Amino acid sequence: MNVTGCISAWVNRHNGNLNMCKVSAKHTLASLMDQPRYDVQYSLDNKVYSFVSEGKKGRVIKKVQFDLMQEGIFNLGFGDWVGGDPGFNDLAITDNGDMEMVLSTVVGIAVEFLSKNTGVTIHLTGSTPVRTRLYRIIISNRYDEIKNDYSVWGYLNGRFYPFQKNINYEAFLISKLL
Amino acid sequence: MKISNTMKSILTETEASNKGLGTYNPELDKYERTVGFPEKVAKGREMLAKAGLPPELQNRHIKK
Repeated sequence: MNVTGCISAWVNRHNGNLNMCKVSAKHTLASLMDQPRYDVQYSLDNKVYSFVSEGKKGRVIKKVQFDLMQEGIFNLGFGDWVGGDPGFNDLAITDNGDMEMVLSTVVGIAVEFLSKNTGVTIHLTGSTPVRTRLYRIIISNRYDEIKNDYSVWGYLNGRFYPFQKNINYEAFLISKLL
Repeated sequence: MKISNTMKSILTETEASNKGLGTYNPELDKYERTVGFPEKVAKGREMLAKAGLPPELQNRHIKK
């Protein structure tokens, strides 16, 4: 299940009650880093990755791509690979039952990208506010560990601020501390 | 404790090893020439134009 699918499932399960969804999200993501990751394939410059989600709906190809925004700043995007060019669907609801493993794989890819490209910064935002909030929850749950090696900034009301937990940022910047 | 240890292992696993995460697939190379998420890139550029980069992220030495 991709992120959207998982969130949609929570919302449906709890009749749209976002508070219940939030509790479910925290509970589910608490074990995110314990999950195994899918084997990934990557392009020559390590800017495009793919892996196959395997779950109750079958096999779904996921694609992660780092798009250059400006010198040293890359947008991290991921979604289902639906074919064509560029072939992404970042609003897909896969509901494949493997959200934690998918997210764990994407986190591993982000770590790899920042390690292989010293000094670069990743820009991250969700396709929907709910998905952006999920990213914030993931970062918050691990922030005490993340901050030792990474600098994280949140975008809110036209400014970037040093990341703080429990603030609904619109986007994030993540870079490895030099 | 278990979660913390696992997180550390993820963070260090790829960093400590010179081997890449997974395997190289030349079929993916062609996608490097296209923008995968143009809407997000445009939105992100708007944010950067409006807010600017945080000072700590400016003038970083990029090394590949």
